[in-house]
Amino acid sequence: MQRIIEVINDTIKRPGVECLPCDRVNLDYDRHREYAESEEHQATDLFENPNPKHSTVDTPDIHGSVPSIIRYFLDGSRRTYKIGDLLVKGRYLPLIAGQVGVAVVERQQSRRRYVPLRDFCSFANAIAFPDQLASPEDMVALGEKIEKTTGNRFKLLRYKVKPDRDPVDLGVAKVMSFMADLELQAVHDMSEKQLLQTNAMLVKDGPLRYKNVRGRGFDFLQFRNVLGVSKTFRSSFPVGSGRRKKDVGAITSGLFMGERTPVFKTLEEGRHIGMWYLRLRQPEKMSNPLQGIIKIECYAVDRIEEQQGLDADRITTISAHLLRERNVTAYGADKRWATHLYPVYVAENFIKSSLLSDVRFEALF
Amino acid sequence: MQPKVIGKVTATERKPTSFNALRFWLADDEEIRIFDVIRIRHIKDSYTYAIIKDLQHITDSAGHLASFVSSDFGDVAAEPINPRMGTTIAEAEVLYNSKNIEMPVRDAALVETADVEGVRTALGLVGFRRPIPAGYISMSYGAEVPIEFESSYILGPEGAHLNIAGISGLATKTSYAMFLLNSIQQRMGQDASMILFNVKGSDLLAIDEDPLQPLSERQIAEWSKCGLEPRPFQNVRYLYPYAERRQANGYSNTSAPRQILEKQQREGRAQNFYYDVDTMKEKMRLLLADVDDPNSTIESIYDEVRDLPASSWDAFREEISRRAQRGQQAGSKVTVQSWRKFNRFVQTRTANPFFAEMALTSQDERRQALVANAVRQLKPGSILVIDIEPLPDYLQCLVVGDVTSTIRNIKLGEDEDVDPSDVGRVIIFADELNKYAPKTDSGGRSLTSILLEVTERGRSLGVILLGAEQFRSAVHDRILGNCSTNVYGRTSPVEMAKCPDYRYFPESHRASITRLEKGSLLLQHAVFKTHLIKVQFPFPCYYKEDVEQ
Repeated sequence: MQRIIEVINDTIKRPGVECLPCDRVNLDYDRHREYAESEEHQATDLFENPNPKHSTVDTPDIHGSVPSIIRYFLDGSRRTYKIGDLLVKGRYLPLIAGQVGVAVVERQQSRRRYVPLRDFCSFANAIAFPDQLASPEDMVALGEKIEKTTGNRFKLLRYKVKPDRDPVDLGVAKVMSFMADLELQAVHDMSEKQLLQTNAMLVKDGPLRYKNVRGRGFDFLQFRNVLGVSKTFRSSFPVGSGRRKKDVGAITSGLFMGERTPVFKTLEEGRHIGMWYLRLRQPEKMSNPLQGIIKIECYAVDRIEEQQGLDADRITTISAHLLRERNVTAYGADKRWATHLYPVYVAENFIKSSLLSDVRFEALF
Repeated sequence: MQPKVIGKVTATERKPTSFNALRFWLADDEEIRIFDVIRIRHIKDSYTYAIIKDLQHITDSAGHLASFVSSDFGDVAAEPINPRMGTTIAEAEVLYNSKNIEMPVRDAALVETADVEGVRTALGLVGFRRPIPAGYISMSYGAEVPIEFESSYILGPEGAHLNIAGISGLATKTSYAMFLLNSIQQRMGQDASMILFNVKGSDLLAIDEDPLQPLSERQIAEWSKCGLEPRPFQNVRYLYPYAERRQANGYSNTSAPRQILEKQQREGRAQNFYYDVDTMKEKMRLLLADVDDPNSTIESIYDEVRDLPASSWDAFREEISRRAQRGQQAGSKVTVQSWRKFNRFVQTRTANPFFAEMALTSQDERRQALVANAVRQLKPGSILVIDIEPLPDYLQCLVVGDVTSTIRNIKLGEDEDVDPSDVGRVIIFADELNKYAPKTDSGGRSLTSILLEVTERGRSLGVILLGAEQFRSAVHDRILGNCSTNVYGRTSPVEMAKCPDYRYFPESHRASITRLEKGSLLLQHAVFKTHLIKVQFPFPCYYKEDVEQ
């Protein structure tokens, strides 16, 4: 079988352009940085109706017999590799490939098991080329040639080369953006089938930060029953304003188990997002003051919410149900165990077990 | 029963499938047991059959501490809303492939419940010339598979002898032996005769009588599953120790129920065995079989005893006493010390009333018979039950040794009174085999020697030993080594640690043996394609007191 690098060289025959092999490297050395380093807007205002009287809010216990309002869990996962270099117009730019998977699992509480909802799961391979190599039309032709020659379908992406950025990061970001598209599509499809309800909510792993959502024809109302739960957050992120302005780390480090912060407002592409922090575990058992705290995000989906903030009772109820998600844990199996909701961990493992091994994937090139 | 998919094969880098073994995960709502047979869809539209060896439930928990942490750091009242991901992994041993393919089964191959015919083929139960029902396998998914022995591997000439080991009262050794003998009688008819020694109460003293309580429908169905009729033994005679003085039981020293004994006597099926002096002069070695004689001092007496002029027990004992006195060994090569030792044994060991002469009066009532003569009357298809329960160990050894050596002599053509072909194959059932052939004996004991000869030459002679004991570790190795079929009942872990025979069992099988329920046994038979099969067998169908239904 012809290798993909050979197919690229055979297809793009332009003077001065060549695809060259390199030492193949798995780029997932820091798997969590997308959350830790995500760029966030300022969160200056409280966004809760009514605003709480104190800086922390207690979360009530829910009896074990009460069904959870959270039923679905979505996770996206990718493995990215630098699989070659492109000599193009005097530049020496990386060729980034990735395996991407998105999975939704349903927790069937009565049967005590998790079931992947295959209609909403997707797996794809992608290659990110520098935009200087070829036009979008060339990409389509190349994609067809790769599929025809190697039998493997790849989504071909173009990353925009910027003078002040590492092109490897740009390629990886393109693959991640592709993964975000697949996640968004899964939410859209679930909503289309009216699976997401107030008593059957979806927890998405990571922040609710989708780019160009409106441009794709998606309605934010679909996100009414979607929560973005992040395992990590930037502790130096400032919230509040004036004299009350503090870094998130300063606010959350004092939370007791089951306590949450007020909801803060932040904006993404002009949409209002409420975000708050909840401590899932006893602080005295944690290795650092911020371990065991999750960040939760929820879109404001109508004008009333946008103006008055998210309903405090609803936030407290959601927090109480999320608190129940703390057990069981992936302790010992994942360093992020203290904030890694177990069903999300299950979805993540489902994706990873469905991807090709590094050796096999790299051998395609 | 339609096959049902219950799981999928899992082959990993660390635990791959092989031509001999595989593992599969089990669907959440399925239940299987060790020793179940399942089938796997394999290449070229074939099926591979495998027997379950072990079951393990695994989760993604990295360790016990993860479980502790997952309960809010040790709060026993915590109720996690998220069930931990886990599955049951079954380990199975490959038995057979329907197209004789020896390639390892593939990852993700479907695992199904097996069909009865397929299981029988996989276990090697087809093509038997003369099958002997040996119980049935009850699979957890509802299938019931009748199990048979091949007669030529039980009764010769290919293999012979069967041994049953297990804890008293729980291993159901005697019940299984009786089921198997019943099965042989029903299937082999006139080809085999049997000699049974009764060693416990009145257990085997009414085996041709109907049970006290009729069998339930379920119990009758168990017999049908094996293809047998639930019926007591037929053509049985009984031999009881002779009592010199008339007792409630006549001249029988036995704990047999009175009405049963009277019926046997009425029908002429009961006799009382005795030993007269002339017989015992020849068998004196058997009487002292358990006595240590490192310098062979007693051994040298046996020849002289044979020529003693005494013709009654009183005269015999008097003569031995006389020789034990100083200066009375004229013409004897044996020292006075040896005579004294021998005298002590004779005086104590011949005190039992069955050491008697043939009575001159009331012979019909006394029903006296020499053991050897009773054995000589054995005909194919008949059963002789000898009650040795009332006797002390050394006298039990005497009777067992006498019977066995008589059969051996007949089979070797050394008995002038009986044609070897008149007896047919003879099965001897001896419980507490460790008494007669203990492991500690290096072969010097006369009874052990006889039993060794029987087990080593028996399959060609047609003498079959069906032995049972509580501890295999206490039985002579060569006796066990000659058994082509072994049956294991519930056994203690201590015994398994002591006995090397259990050492090569898989860990799960060893654990299984320690908790076998009543009525379940593990079979090892030369023809089976797997080491051990777990079977159940029908409830006994003959008269027995104190039976728990």
